[in-house]
Amino acid sequence: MTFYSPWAFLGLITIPMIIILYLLKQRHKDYTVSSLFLWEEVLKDLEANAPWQKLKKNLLMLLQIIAALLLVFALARPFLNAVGSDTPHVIVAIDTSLSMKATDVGESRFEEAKSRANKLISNLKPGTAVTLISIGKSVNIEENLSSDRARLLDKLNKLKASNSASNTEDAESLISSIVKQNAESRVVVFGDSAINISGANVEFSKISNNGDNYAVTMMSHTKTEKGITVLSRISNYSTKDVTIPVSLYVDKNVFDAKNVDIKKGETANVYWNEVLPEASLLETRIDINDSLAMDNRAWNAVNNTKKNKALLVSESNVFVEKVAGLYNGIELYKTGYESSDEWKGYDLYIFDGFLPKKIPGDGNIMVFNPNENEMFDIIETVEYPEITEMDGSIFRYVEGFDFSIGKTKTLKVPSWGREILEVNGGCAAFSGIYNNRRVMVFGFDIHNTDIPLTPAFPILMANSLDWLLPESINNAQNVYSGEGIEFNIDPKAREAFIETPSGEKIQIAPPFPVKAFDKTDEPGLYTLRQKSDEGEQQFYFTVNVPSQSESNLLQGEDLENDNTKAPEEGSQKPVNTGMNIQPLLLWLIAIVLLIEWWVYTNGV
Amino acid sequence: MKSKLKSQLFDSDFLKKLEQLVISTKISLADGASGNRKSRAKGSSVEFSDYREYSIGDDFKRIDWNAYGRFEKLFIKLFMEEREAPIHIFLDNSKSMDWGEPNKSIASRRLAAALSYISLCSYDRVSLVCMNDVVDKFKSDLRGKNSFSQILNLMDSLEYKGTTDIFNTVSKYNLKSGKGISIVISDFFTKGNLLDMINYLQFKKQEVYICHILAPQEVEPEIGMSLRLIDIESGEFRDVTSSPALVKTYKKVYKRFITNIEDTCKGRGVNYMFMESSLPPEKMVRMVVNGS
Repeated sequence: MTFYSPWAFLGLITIPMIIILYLLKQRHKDYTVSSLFLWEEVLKDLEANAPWQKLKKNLLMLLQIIAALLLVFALARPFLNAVGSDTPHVIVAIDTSLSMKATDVGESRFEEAKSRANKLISNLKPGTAVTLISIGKSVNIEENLSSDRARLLDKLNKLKASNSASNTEDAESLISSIVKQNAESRVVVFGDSAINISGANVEFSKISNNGDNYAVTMMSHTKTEKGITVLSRISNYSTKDVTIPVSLYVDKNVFDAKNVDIKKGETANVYWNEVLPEASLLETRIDINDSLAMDNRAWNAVNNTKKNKALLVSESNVFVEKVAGLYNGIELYKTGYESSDEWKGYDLYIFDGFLPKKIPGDGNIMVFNPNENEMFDIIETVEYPEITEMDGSIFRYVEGFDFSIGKTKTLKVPSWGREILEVNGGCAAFSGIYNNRRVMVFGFDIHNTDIPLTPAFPILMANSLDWLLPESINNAQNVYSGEGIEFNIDPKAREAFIETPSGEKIQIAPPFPVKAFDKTDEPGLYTLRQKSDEGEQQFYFTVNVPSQSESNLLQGEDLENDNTKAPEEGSQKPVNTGMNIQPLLLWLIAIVLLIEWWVYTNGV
Repeated sequence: MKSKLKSQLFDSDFLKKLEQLVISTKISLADGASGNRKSRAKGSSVEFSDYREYSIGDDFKRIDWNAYGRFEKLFIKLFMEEREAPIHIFLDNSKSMDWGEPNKSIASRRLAAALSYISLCSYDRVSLVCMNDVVDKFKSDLRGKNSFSQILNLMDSLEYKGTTDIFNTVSKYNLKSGKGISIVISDFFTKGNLLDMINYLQFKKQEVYICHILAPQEVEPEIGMSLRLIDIESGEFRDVTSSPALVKTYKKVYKRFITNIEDTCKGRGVNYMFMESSLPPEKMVRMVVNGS
């Protein structure tokens, strides 16, 4: 036991004072009465009713001494030390992932984790520094090296469980690095899956009660001639075989429902055929009560991709024409070098050996063998240069590719550009975003190279066109909660909004370029709306909970059995907790004072 | 002390009140006490006793017209009738009676004086016995208003001493046989047997009145701290510390004490009157006259 305010023991001086006061109080004042006749009866009665009456005065004194002693001890701030409780720094990590929303432990696993963490922090030795970490999709330090108990508890109470998976790798590396800085750190993790940190003293307070859970673990669709075929994958993460009612909603209306038998621990694929091709939102629901409700629904968006219009400005370039014509999603138009003023309304301009004085006001641009222009400068023309470096995404999938150039112009890479091909004379090709438009420039005429003759040519062209005509969304149309999503805003768009499933409108542009959007905690259908002079474009994407990694509530159990000896849920609470005895002593004082009051008034 | 008592006891106010009492009560103790004495008085000879001035309401037949002729004032002849009742007033003058605020000794003497006066006015024969553990002073067989001064003198010279043992002392007092009234005035802080005293008095054919006088401080003691209680009579002491329990128990014991005396009196058909010393004498007298 440690006392943090030992000066309070000076208060022990009150005890002899109480005794002295009692001794002084014992001196009776003389008082003449007419007769002791009644008083003798009174004293006899009192003694008869309370055989220890004579002790009563002493009892009151004794109670007061006990109360004074308890008060002195309470003021001395006693703290009962437990093993590990004297570490100066404690890292409290709380899992905020989806699985913590499971209701198999109390109100929810997360609430239980918070309450256990609260207890731990409240009972820490005063002055102990606490680092509070939340482990969700991202690992955040909520409070660093703080010994302000109230602030810590406030932060803790404000924590919310997310719909994303926990990023245990980041958590492990973060905690490891903190532990490296503070070697005496003690790590306490509250969650349903353990974290392994080598060389650190990790205590794991496992919060799991083996809850049964069923989840929609995957949803996908494919377009066929007969409409859309949808695949829903349903998993049974319970210890018994079940029949699960599954429904498919198309654009928020019930389309079909099925009962699916799934054995324990297994997954079933459910196919839905001939869904209307114009559908934009698909949703799978399982109607069954389980420990985690969030993963009982999954969404999938259907976007009808539009064809991009491309204008090839060339006298004759059969290679580019053929490849661009074959590229899926391009509607190719061809023109000569004349009538350059009327070029507008295309998503992509491919200039071959020519660049108009006035660059078209819209669309992305691909240039071969450029002439002088306003966008960038041409340095010189070199012959038979040696290729020194190839960089950039257009060279994906073509490792070991080798080619030669007969003649090329070298280019000055503008501030917005990035070199993709370097020859010994300078830059032969670059790409970049100019005025919110994608521009790719090759300094050579394709006819002056052997590239079109290599098998890599169509791949190079496809890579280039992929970059020049990006999908609205870079990564995917379906993301998991908490994941960031990058948009390729239409160059013509003036502003862009995201509409969340709950109807909230979030402006993402301007400013341009658009930053990654990461407010994706809420699962459901999100709509990207881009407004341009031509009207409004909509693009759907869906956010689903990471059920494959989070829905198996039994997972923690397995881990637990491997890692620790403690078999029972109750014993998982952090045991190495010291205890602040002050509140207990204050309660005892209150009780002693109550007893004293009772003894005094009732004259026991 | 004496002079103080005298002035407190028998000032003109008090004497005036006594007169008023006599007029307003109109009946004597003996009248109200028993009927059989009245019947015995029928047809018996009358003996002249005294004159007094006529007052409104008196019987015209009793006006002495001869006296009127002589003094031109209306007088009424008073007669000593056979039915005169012997009245004994036993007054406790132990030390314990000289206590309290207002002092029990004053209240008790005023009561005794008032009762004596009323009885004398009603031609009753009054004996006043002051006693503690022994019979201290007494005046017996006083008749007529003129004797009242003897009573006042006795009371003035009365000293409070000794211990209360009124039950035994009364029992030892040699009462003449014959019907009569006995009034006992005391605080009854004594271990003696009340029943023995009542039995003795009733054996002597006495109609018994018990006037129990206590000071307000004895009814509701004011105990504010740790006290050494010293007995005024014996000098013995007991230490007590004030507490709600103590007060509670005192009240319980006090109630038991009063109830015991009351029950004993009721059981023997004795009139019991409880009086706090703060009560005005006329109210005390009315309680005795009315028998409650």
